[in-house]
Amino acid sequence: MRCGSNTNIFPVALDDPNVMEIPESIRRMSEIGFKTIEATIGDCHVNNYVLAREDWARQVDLIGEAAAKYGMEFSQMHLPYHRKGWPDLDPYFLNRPGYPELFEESMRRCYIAGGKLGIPWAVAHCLDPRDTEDPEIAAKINHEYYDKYVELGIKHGVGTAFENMVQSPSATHIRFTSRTEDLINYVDSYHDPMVGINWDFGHANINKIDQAAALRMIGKRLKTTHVDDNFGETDNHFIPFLGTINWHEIMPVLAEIGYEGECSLEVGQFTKRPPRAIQEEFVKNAYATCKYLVELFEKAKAEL
Amino acid sequence: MLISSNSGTYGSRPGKPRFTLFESAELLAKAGFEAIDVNFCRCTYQEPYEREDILDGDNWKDNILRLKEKLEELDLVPVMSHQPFRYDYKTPIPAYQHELMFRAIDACGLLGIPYTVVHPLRASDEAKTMLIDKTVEVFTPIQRYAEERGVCLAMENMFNTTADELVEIVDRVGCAACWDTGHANFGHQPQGESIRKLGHRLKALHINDNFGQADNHTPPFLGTTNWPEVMQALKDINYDGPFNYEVMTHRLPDENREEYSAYLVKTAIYLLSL
Repeated sequence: MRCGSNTNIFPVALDDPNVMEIPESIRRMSEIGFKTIEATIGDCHVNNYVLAREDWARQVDLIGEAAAKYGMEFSQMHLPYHRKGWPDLDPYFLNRPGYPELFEESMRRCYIAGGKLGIPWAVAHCLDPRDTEDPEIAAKINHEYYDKYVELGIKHGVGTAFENMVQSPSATHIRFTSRTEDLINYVDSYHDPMVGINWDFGHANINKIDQAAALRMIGKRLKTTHVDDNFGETDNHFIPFLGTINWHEIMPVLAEIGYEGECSLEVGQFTKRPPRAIQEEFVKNAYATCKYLVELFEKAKAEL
Repeated sequence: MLISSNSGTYGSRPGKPRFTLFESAELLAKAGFEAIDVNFCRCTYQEPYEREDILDGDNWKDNILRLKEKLEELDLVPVMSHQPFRYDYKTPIPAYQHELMFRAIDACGLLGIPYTVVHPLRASDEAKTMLIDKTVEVFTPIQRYAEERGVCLAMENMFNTTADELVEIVDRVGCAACWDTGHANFGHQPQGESIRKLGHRLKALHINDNFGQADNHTPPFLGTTNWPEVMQALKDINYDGPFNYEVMTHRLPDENREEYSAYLVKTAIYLLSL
């Protein structure tokens, strides 16, 4: 297991109107010590979105060149996702002309980019139909949407890892894939090794899930991780140990189930908060906690 | 303004004995802090690994004098302290708590600490209503006791304490004020306006942040506090006390605390440059 992060760990600082380009983020990540990258190239809602540019293919090359130059490997990328889990509830779908088309084109370009960059897994959020809580119906709706993209991924050598989603404590509707068994059943329904699971520890903490038990159920289906923490109430994406997750219990379970992926932070929502002048110092802390988690994993693995 | 931290930054840790005050001081000095807020809060705790034992037993004065030597050796100024406060907010304060409070004040006198932080009394109702008269009644004699030892109490705002209430308590007790930025943010108190109302009374700070939903004690910027507003208000009143952190670190592994503390120091330097 290696220390990784998504490329969103640097680009935004709330006091800085400039958004850092992904290659520069990769350089800084490398300087701090990260070895693996989740390419956050699915954020089609942001201004000057990389895959919406006319020269998007060249931009993808630049990202790949930066990774090669700094000795980094891609563990995963993140696909575009629907805010609130459903297009008709997504403010970007509702309010931004041309966004639905951009979204679908971004899905396509992500898989193509993933193929070019040699990214093994694309992380996906399942759709969450609000008019049903029947996981079979929700799975059918997701198959209708995602099957073509899963196929596209296979064509480009990119697997699709569906993520456990957060069940807001105040929501009355059970979100599809917030329950581990629903996520497993959906992934298993593909009967394809190119479909797996991405586990977001922060989401599971809010869902009050016994993470050790859930990860044992998931077993070898687990392909990628989103490492983040919270107090069990809000999806804060804190760095590890600033919330209530019991990392000392969880990391040995990852070793026990034979997890072969990376320890990939998803804490950009948190690292964007310190001003640019001190952001890097904070990211060093994020890296230090990631390194500690990797050491916990490796120690447990050695003791198996 | 000296950059300081509550010694609890290196206090409790999961599943292990607490760092001693001596270890804590060493680690804070190593991280670049200039001053220390000597935390006596945990002196009343009974749980394994949680109790701070420096005031225990007949030799407590010797312990404090050894700590004083250690702080001098580390060039770490003992600039403030936190009094034990863990008790039912129903008055009167239990005798054991009371005795420890006086002992902690004596310790401040020995260490040369000018301000020691106390919490105002609040009712045990759900709203934790401020008990202003009772606070004045309980703390006025304690303030006199402290003054005789060259120490002054610094009354802290709880999440529901308004600046006006704090000013009233401080003026009636004759003590100073401590402003906890996290409590104020959680309680949606206007930070700049409150700090300006406290004015010359403000002698101590508990710098921490949160998202306005719970008293999380995160570092500045890892929450929703308006820091430029806080810093401008401190400038406006010519605040000359320590820039003192009270952030939560108890879940962080030992290995990660030095890096975290160094970040706190850099954050303080940044904020003081605003």
